[in-house]
Amino acid sequence: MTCETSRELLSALFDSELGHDDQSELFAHLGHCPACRDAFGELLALRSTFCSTEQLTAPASLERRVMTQLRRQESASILVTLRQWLMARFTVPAPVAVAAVLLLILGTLLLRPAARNGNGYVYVPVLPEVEVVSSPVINTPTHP
Amino acid sequence: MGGGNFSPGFASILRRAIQAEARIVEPSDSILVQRWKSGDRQAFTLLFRRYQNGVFAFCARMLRDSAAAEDAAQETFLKAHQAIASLADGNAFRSWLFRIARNEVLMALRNHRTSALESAESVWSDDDPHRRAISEEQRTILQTVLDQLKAEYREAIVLREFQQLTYAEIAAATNSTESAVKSRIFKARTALASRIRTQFQ
Ligand SMILES: [Zn+2]
Repeated sequence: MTCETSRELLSALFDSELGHDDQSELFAHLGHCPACRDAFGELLALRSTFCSTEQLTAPASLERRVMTQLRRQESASILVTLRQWLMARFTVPAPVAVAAVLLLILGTLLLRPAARNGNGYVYVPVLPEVEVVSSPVINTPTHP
Repeated sequence: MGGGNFSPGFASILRRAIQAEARIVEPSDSILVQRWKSGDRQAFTLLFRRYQNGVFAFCARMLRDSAAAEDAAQETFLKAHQAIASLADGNAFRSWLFRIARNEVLMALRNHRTSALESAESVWSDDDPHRRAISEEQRTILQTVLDQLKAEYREAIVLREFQQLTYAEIAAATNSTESAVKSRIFKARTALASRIRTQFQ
């Protein structure tokens, strides 16, 4: 292992991001490389410098600003939602909605297996025959 | 004989201990994200308070300017609030939030003419390290040399050392790969250590 590789692994070791195989290789290298052991000491010193550096804290005004802005956005978006809701309710013509529901029912019925007659399903061709078809299924259970 | 008296007392002590425990254990990010998505304002507030210092500190160390950092942090949380529905994995909240913060920082840096992401050779930034408003008592030799790092090295080392993000999280936050993050952190440390050494000599 080169010293360059060893230093990079050393850095990863400090972040608990080093796999077992790499670790044992690294320790083997450190065992016979004083320069990399010095580098280890230097990383240790750097880490403690980071730890002793004061954490920056957000000013109290940040929460106030964010919450105020959110309330403003929310009251605006409530109005938009309300308008969309009203428009969806009162601008979709009723016949369109009714037609959509009918189409859905029709589609389900057309694909519904009505009765078995040996060579597969008999499909209900049109809506008016729905009532006729549902009873033969029950009345002809022994039909071959 | 005393068992009858002991056990209800013990039960109440136990109950109180469990309640105290429940109060201490804070809900995870992913639970709060879930609640936030379903419109719970309190969940957002809790996450805001959990991360406001981290996001602000990240922005401040990147921008070297408290006022600009506060603006960037505010935008980060507002954008997070707008986009929270798009976050599929609540466990990834932290890296997702810092990714938003990073975008704000890069935008602010771009507006300040000083994009520190230019020449790829050096670890050190070309821009003027004297333009900064972080108060003097918060300044250390470390911060001074940190300020001199290019943004791509600074963001990696800051997210690692001050925010304790994993390499995977830093990669997600900075739109990079884990091996690139590993290499940047290594180079940043080498550069910082040598510059601190020369500052002391
Ligand atoms: Zn070596």
